[in-house]
Amino acid sequence: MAKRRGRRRRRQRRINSHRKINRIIDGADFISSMPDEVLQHILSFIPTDLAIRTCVLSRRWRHAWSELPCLDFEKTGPGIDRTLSSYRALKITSFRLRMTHDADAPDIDSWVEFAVSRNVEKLTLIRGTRYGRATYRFPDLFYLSSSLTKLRVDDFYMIPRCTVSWSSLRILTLTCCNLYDDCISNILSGCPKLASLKLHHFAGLLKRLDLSKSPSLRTLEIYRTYLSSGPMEIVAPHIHYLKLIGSEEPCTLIDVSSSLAEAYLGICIKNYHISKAGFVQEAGFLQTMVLKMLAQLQNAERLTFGSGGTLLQILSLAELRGVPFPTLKVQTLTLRTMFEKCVIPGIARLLQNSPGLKKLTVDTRYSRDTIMDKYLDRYLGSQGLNSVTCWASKCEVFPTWKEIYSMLGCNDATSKLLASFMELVLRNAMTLKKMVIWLGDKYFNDEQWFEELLQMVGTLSHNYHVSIELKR
Amino acid sequence: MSKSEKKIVLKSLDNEAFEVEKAVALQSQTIWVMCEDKCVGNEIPLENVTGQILAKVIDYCKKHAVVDGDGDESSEELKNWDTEFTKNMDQSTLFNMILAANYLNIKSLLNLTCQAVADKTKTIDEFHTFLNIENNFTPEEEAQICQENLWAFDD
Repeated sequence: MAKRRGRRRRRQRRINSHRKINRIIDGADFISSMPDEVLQHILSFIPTDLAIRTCVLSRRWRHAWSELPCLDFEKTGPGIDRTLSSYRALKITSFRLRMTHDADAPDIDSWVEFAVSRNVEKLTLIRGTRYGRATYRFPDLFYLSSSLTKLRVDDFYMIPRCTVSWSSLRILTLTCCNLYDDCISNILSGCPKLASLKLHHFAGLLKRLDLSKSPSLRTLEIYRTYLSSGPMEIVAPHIHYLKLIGSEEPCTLIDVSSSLAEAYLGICIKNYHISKAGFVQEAGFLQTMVLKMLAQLQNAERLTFGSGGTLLQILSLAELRGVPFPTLKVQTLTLRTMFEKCVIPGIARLLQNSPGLKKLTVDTRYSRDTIMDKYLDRYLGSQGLNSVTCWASKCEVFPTWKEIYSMLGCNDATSKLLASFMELVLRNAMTLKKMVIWLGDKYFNDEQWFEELLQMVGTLSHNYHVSIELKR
Repeated sequence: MSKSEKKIVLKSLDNEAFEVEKAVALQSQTIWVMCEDKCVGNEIPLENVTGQILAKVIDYCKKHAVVDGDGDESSEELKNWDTEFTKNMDQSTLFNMILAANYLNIKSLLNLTCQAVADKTKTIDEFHTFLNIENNFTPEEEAQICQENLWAFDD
């Protein structure tokens, strides 16, 4: 009855739109008379669980949410299946589910089936709870979706029991998932159109990631922090962009594409992982690993060294020991580091080995996460080098982190440090056209002093014919 | 193209005529299709939009049009302008803008106005109060619907 009344009301509206619009109603239930697509459009701007709650507003709104093309569940609860069963659209564009209650395997199966059977294009599944289901495995139909173009899975085992077929998948992101060689190779051979692969903080036993049979794969991101286990090889002959955050565990890049245009390289070593003997033993291997990686990245035009300076410290050790570096074709180099002593020899060598460098950005705003100086010194000692004279010969004026920390309140000392750093860059990078330095705002909010810094920079810029920008 | 061809006249349902640049008007897919059809002259009747609302829609389109290169407002500025545009709109104007944007098929204006409604409705109570939605369920029906979707109501 209500439905018929509604239909009559709508027909009336179409016939006599003039009258409807002339009587702009203040206070009456105007919005409920709007077309379905408008109600849905409004609902698409609010969180999905609130959109679902609008089913209690009135009969008109009872099923308004159930045709929404994008569903984003920030929370789940027992009984969510019943809600999903009243969903009416035949196609879901985007479905994101963050499981926050302790669901049974059949529940998860049914949500996956819900999405896949409605030809979902973008699917995100996040295990947002720590208890139970750790070893849950997706049903076969999950691995056999031809509509899926973008998939993100957080914190699940990716162990297909069938031959994977994701024929339209272009973007795959797996975070904190358990990954194994044969499963990943099954997945990769089922994704002929894959353009972007991101593996973040994974566990399991991924020993070899072979992307040689993924000709469309352009973007690769690997974070090997926290959970990774054991050595790994990455074969990547087609990629154009690589982001690799390594750990102290061995990682080898093989056959990296000569058309690699951009790379971001970082290394994360937790100081609490380093036993006293540990770093001395590991340091040699880390240098070899990092230099081999650099050799694989030598074609990249844009390079970023991130993760707080650890990588630069390792390069510094190699430089102090006189190990040869590869020559880089980099034109745009970004370094995320402070101006402390232990990164300087590495930076100087990088600049000398980058004969085509045009732009350098140094960003000091990121949190410092480096190996403690005493471990570096102990390693140099173990190599028969005197750490004091070693550092002094390569980076005269530069302070240790502790010294920088105590100097940051003092404008004069900080200005001098900044000037020394810029001069070091200008002496070593002969082809440089532009330098940008980002200063952590905490220490540089003294307006008058910042003006003085800018003047100093202006003089340097003029003397070396390099444009220098100071930002904070 | 002569000067007159670059202009177009939009006529509201209450017979108010607005002469605007074609580039401004063509942000409406509906008007674009009408112009393509060539079955209309230089004057386009818009039977679903009042003059008062059409004037506002044109304001919006002028701001968002790229006319002969002078539409290069920064995106930040444009965003602020959009915020101001919907900020003080009363409820019925906002709703009529939504209907107009939907009818004229101007996607960005529809997004902007629907977002403005969404911003004012963060709870079910706000839906009832701001949108004046009349609850025509019996208490039993309402209780049953809540029961069926209990997890969503459980905060």
